[in-house]
Amino acid sequence: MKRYAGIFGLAALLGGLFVLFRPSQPEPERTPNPPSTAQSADTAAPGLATAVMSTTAEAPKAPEQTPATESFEFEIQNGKLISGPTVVKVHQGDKVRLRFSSNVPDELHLHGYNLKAQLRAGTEASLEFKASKTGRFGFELHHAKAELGAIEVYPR
Amino acid sequence: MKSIRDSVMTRTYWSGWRQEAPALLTLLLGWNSPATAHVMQAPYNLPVPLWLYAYGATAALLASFAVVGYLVRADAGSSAQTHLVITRHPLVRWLINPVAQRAVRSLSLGALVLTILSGFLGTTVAAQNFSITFFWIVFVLAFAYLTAVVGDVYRFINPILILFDGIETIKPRLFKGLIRYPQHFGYYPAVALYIVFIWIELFGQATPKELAIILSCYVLISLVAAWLVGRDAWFQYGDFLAIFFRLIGKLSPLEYRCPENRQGPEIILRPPSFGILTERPDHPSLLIFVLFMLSSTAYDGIHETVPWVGIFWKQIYPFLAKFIGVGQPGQYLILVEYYYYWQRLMMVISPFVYLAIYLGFVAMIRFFVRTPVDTSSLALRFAFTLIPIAFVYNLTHYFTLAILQGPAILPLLSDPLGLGWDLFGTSGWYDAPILLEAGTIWHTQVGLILVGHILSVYLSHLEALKIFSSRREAALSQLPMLILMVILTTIGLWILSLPIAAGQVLLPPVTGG
Repeated sequence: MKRYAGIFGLAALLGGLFVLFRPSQPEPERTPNPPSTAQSADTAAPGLATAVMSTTAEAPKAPEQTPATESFEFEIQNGKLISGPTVVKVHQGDKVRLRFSSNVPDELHLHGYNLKAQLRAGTEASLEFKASKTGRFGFELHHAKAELGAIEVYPR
Repeated sequence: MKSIRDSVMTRTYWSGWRQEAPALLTLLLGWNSPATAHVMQAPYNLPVPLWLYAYGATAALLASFAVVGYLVRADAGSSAQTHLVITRHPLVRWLINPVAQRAVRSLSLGALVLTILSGFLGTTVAAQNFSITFFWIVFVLAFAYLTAVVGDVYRFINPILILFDGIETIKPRLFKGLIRYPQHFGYYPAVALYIVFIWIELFGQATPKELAIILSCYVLISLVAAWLVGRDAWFQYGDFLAIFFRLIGKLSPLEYRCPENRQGPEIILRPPSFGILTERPDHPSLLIFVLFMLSSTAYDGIHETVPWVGIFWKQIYPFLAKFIGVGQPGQYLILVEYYYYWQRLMMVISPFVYLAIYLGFVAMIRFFVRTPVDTSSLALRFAFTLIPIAFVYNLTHYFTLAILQGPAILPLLSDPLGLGWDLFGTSGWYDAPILLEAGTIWHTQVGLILVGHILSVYLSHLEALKIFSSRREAALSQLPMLILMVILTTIGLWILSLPIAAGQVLLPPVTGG
């Protein structure tokens, strides 16, 4: 039993070190006035966030200016994506705009965020939201039953 | 499991979303046409970042040596005295009183009946039907995790066993068996059923009705098999769910022993996961079962990632394209079909790939320690020590799904058929899904993988101390096991860190003109 306790002690120690030394939610990225809600993010002075430094080298393309809207365009033909990224990578708190144009009407669903957009032939539809939830969320065409791609929201 | 997740998630939040229902035969054969296959969606987990992966792998390595170093010096013989019989403890007696037992058994059988009935009679929208969430999430995932805590209670509340009991009160000794179970078959029937089950889970996208058909078939198979070879042999060698829970129950601090001469089980408190050391596989097929627990989860984790999908489209595709003839009409569609053949083949052979690797490392033990024990006996003796790694693989892959979809069972209980009922007043509960933060998920995943790894290394070393005469030999024998376990753990972490492919079918690198 003593040995067993030793093993659990070791596990606990490793766990403790892990929490202690993990790269924290990057401190330098905190703006003096961290935007906590969608409203405050909208109104936050852009100058405050330009001082952002990206510390996580492996993180996908961290945007230099956080509150700017990340815009992505998708062109759909007959229920298939013919141009536009299949994986959209953004960071938590980013404002995201997904713009879709389709030659046939359909309904677009973004999972996780539970957003819908009605696509009409010839007119552009767009989804605008603040990427508040981290994770990988697919978007699909409801009628064509086609998975178009996914948005990956990484923590800051 | 991703297809299940996809169907559940998609249908939860987009109730109008429906999927064409393939016939059961197609389902079992599993050929998703390219048109439906893309519906298979990735989970909301993000790949674990590189630094965390590197941390996890390094910690696994260091922890392994720490465990070995510790055990080389520590006293090994004391684990046997740590068992405590708690059957007569007032709290335990109160918990397992006959009324409670009868209630739990009735609930268990009732849940099976309700799952089948709601599948047949209820809505075709998976998320609004009790059956899908109850079977895949509550039973297959949550109950397995509960089993790791409370032990193998499934052997008492297995609904099929309760059904047999019921039938035998009317027709006594119906399931005593017509013939003796051929012992050389071992656990292969269970391995085969387990492979079919994972096939359905990963490729099936079973609708509620199809799930009801599958479960009915399983009950029927159980009845016929138990009638033929006897109920004990069926639960021992055939009922893969019973075996799955039995193996996971070894991780629990609670053990249930059923001596022949006693009414009811003896309940024993032991250090968690020590159940692994009390028994060893009596047949190679059980080793394959354990390896499939590992490999099926690993396969599920990897089969939709960028590198894996790329193996086919970047390595195999150009070769096959040449073979079929570049530019042949329909060539691309044929190859898309081949892609799905390839995916399914990889799943089925995965336990045997793991077996080859495992046997290689066990052979190395014999190389390091000149022991008269042959490779196959050694392979069996260490087999169960892989269970902690297999279990944490499962947990890290599916706990987000269990947390996301598990609570939905509460509203579903009030409206099992999806007809808009509110039997218990819970139908409005859980309308905001629980999505965990990516950071929380990553840390939990890596932490769990490390705990499983440390347990496996530790238990394997204890087993070695039982097999080999000297501590030096035991420690030497653990060198290959340690490398194997670090490899398995690193693979587990690596899979978690892989980017998920945007689609199953990549655009052809060559269009043929």
